[in-house]
Amino acid sequence: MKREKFDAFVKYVQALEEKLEAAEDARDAAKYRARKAGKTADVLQALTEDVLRGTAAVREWLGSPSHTILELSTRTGIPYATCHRIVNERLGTPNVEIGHLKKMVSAVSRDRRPFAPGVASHPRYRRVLFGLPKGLAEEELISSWEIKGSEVSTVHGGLEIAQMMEKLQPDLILVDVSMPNLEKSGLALLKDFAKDTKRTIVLTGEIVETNSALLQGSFEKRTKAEELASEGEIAGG
Amino acid sequence: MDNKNYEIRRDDLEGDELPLSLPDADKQKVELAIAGLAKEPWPRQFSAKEVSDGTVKITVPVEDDEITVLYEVDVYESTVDLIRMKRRGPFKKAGEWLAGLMKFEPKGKS
Repeated sequence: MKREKFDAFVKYVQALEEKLEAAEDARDAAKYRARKAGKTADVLQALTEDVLRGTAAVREWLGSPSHTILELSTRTGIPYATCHRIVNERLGTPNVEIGHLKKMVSAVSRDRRPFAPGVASHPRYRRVLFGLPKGLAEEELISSWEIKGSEVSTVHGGLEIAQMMEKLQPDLILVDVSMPNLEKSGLALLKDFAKDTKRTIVLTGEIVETNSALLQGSFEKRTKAEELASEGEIAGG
Repeated sequence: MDNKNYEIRRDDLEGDELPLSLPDADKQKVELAIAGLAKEPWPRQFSAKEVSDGTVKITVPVEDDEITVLYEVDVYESTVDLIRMKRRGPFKKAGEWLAGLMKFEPKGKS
């Protein structure tokens, strides 16, 4: 065999070997995705009813579905689009959105543009009020909206929200309902927001806890549990 | 580069027992490489390679072998899900043998 042919043969075998390894990797990745999809379906099944109950509770309290965004835990691994579709199909409410605070912050940090679940393509809000925990990419969030011409204000505690609502009369409010010092119940606040703003986005923690709190008519219980957990009084809180 | 920390999850890891079969120094090397993914999910020093969308593979050199770690990175959720850990021995040996063949010079040929 001539040298050139020999070298070409060796290269061919090397390429084959690389392809084999790549195929093995792709197969394992696909197997993993299939396992994950199976788990997702199980979790989704278990959570759907809870999501729907919570959503229905919010709708009932607000008297309107268009102001509410429910958050779904990232830990469940359920795609937001799937949840959004299911909730909308089951409730027949195209205005119910599902979003997540961490995802919003991540998108803003990465793309440097205003982002909020459900309003990303309509950033036409003149006055925006953020009620968020301190240090949560606050500057990035504010500047991303200011670049688009929105007047942005931020509050870190529940007590300030009412004052700012009065003063600013925001078109859009993004609020974390587990903020400290909420003097009203979360649902009472939601009713105020829904009355006074074009749109309210509610940003919270786990959907199961959130919905339980909603069904019980208060967010305070969850907030208290979080405070205790952070003080180390509840193991694994 | 962002400064965020990725959460490393092993819930679905195949081959989790592999490090146990390695000598202590190699075991530590592999665990350090995995721990390092929390800061940098595409580490150049371990030849990070995108296998498919979001799925990445690193190769950690150990004594007489290489360990490949396959994982999925979710930048939105800041998570790294470990998928599979395995020895690359057979591929490595075949690669070395083929590389040796390339260098082969038949006797009597200038």
